[in-house]
Amino acid sequence: MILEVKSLKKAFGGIIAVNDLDMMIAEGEIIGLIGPNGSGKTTTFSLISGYLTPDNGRILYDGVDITGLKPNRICQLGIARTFQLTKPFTNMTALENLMVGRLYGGGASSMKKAAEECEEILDYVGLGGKGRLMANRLGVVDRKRLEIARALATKPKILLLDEMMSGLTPAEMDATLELVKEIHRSGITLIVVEHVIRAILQVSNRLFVLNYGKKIAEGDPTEVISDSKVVEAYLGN
Amino acid sequence: MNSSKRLSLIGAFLLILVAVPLFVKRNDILTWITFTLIYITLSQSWNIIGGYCGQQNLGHAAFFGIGALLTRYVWLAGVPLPAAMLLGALAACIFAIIIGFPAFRLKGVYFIIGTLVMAEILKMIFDTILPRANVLPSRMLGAYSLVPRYYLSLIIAVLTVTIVLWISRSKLGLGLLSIREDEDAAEALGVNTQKNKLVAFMISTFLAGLAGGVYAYYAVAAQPGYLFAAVWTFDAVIIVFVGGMGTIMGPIIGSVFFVLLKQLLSLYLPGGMHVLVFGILFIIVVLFFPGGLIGLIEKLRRTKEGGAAN
Repeated sequence: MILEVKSLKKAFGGIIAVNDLDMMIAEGEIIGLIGPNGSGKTTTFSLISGYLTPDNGRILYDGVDITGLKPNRICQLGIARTFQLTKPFTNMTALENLMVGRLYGGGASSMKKAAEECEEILDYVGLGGKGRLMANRLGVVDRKRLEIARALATKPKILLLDEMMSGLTPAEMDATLELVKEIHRSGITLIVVEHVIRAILQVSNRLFVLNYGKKIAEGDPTEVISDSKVVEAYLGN
Repeated sequence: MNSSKRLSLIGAFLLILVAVPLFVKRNDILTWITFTLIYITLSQSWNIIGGYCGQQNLGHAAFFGIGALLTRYVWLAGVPLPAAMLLGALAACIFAIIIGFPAFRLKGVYFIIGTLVMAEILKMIFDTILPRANVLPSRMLGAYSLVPRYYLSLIIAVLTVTIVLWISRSKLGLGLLSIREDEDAAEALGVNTQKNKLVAFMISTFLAGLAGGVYAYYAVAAQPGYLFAAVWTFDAVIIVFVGGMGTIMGPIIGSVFFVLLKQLLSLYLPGGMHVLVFGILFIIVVLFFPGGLIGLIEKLRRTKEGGAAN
């Protein structure tokens, strides 16, 4: 197992955001993490990537306990994340955005080497030729691409994608889905939080469904999505 | 401008600066240039932590003060000046490490207020325990010459600009910028934000300590409390903002502009009024020209190029 989450729990005051969550993820999977608003998806991401410390439970990466490590350390070990609201370094160029990830997270040996490798990543995500643009000059779609490219620059083994589809047109969505599949083919394990069910059914090989911080279903996407508990969580009874 | 052309321009400029004392015999002009150079060091040192790393440290005077005070006393006790200055700068840097751990736990406005108060407390302490001005002994007064002061300030300013230039082109520089832009995103990309902030703070305060050391050597009489006065912080901050935050040329142009304007204003306005003018100027720059003078020049150049292209 590349990632094991064991009885993970996180409460904010009286509200339990993640409650006794277990996840076993094998290398090479694309996991979809879905659930209604406030079901604990983003909190789960923040726990895995070190932004929040769990009240209880453990997170094992490749058999090593990473619970409580700082985000920068977890990134260096090989788990990268993107943010739901993209966080570009707006007053830096697109290339510099990537170079930060390559130099600090990906262990590049020199500025020159990092720059060359990051140019390739920019091409790969479809930002070729835009490396010298300031990040604040990029549009919505390009910012999403930059967010993914930056995460890729850290040479991750696991990539956590948080709501990449929000705010995109259907055509842009298809292009982004292609990129996600491409990243998966390159050997990176993906965990995807997504509201757009159509998108997640297309890419994921396994689904986890959360509701009120609890896992209510797990398994094959098409089966899970027709599960009565899942339908109820989304639509009420 | 290509790099060899730029290099020869810088070389020529430095040569002129080296030659100035050979031609200029007027003490007031030498004093102005010496002050400009001290301000380049001081503002450039603040630029590292405030401009590149985005941590608005308003306690910068504390590190200038520690450097100045220690250099002054150790030097007057008979230790050679370079050793005294190194000691002063190291002391400023060590104090930064002690302050840095708790200070960087504070975010935003709390960090700003915390550092400001820290410097004010030091000022009060030294006003109390060393209330009297420290004047150079008479044997030194007799031999006092501005020329070595001028050269020392030049050497330290060149050293400082070189260090900031190196930072701006290094991995460290990119890391600092990423912290300024978005700390969470920086962490997500593997940047140890606490460590990088502390490293920036140490370099920044070491150089501020050196600036203090130059001032300690320059001043005929130094009031210990005054070395910690908030004016050292705010002069540096205004210079960086007006010149251009997080740029190499910003603090240099800002320092020249600041000292020139201060001299002009004090000629025509009643004493202390220049502070008011700088305050207003600061507000205007922050509101309307966030890139400072450098940003303005860049913008003008771009519009000109755009106009030529059309």
